[in-house]
Amino acid sequence: MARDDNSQMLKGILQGCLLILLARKEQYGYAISESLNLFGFENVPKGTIYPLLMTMEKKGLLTSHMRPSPDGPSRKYYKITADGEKARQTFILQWHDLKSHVDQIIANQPEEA
Amino acid sequence: MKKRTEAVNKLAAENNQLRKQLTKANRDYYEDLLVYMRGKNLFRDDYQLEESLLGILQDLIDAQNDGTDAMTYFGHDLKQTATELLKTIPPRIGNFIWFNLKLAAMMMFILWLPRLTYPNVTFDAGSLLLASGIAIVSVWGALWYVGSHAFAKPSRLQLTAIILLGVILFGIMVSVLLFLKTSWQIRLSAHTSFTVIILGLIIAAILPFIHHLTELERPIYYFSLFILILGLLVYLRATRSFFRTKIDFGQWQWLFYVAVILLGIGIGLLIWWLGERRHRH
Repeated sequence: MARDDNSQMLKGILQGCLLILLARKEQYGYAISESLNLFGFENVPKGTIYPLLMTMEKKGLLTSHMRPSPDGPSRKYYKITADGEKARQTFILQWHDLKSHVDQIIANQPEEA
Repeated sequence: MKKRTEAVNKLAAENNQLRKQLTKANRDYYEDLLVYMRGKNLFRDDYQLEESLLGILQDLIDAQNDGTDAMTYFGHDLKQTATELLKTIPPRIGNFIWFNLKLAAMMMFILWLPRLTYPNVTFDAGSLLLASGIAIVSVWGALWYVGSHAFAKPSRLQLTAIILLGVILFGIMVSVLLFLKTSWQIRLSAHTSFTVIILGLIIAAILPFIHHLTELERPIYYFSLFILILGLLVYLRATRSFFRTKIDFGQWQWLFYVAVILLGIGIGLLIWWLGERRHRH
């Protein structure tokens, strides 16, 4: 159960992070995973982003198109939509809110003996 | 529909080619994912499935080139990720229906074609349909089983049970064809049969020049060619008497049928074994 809760929380956060990254630049799967690594997500299995990207595309937060690749078959690039942009802004606001509340709880936590 | 099938086949062919760039360990990992998703993809959009699989493969190759193995990159819980990926692929019932129609047509063609080697062609459409139905259910069952066991190799007992079940189903199918008589009989005149054989031979001669036969199509092509040539020999004056001589073993006729069935099973097992050997190498 704990593992399920953690993975659900991670998915929610990852979705927001993907929206932020793809708002800056359209990218394909591996490039997105490299960007996540740059921001400290090295230990997150990158397999989780593929179903997430497809779900976000189904929800209309992202669109995709194929771009020719010099190394082989065309690659699928994702970019953010107008709905995705709204979701991104909502995520950032909610994150700031959540972070400040959790920081307050942590700040009031008694010291260990 | 045809364009879509071609697009799906193109993606699958690109996947087959690109997969060779993976190391053995990474290829084994990826192929578990591939087998599971394709095996479980009965009602979903096959184009989107193949597109996803190809995208993941390209990324695994990039990760490999950067020194990260597939399991580290993609994660240890492959089945969970594959299941979630499958859920995102939309259903496409049209796919499923069209695939079954093609499979039924192919089965009926393969099962009906040997009838052309008889001088008087009467075939039982009812038993042909039933045998095709058994074949289709068996194919879907096999696909489902293979997909379900993509991440867990079956035990020797399970494998034996599966092979036994396959043999029994094959035996039932052949028995239906040989012994079941329904009222839906279709008779072809000698003239029509001969015309079909000649047309078939002309198509068989032209086909390799206009269409590149895939690995799956090649055995069907050679089998059809063999039957058509045999059928022609049944009609040609020079060879007619030899090929029309009835094989009659009297009270041992049943043994002849058993021998034919066992020969068919033996050929099937040989083809499977050769395929396994080739895959291993």
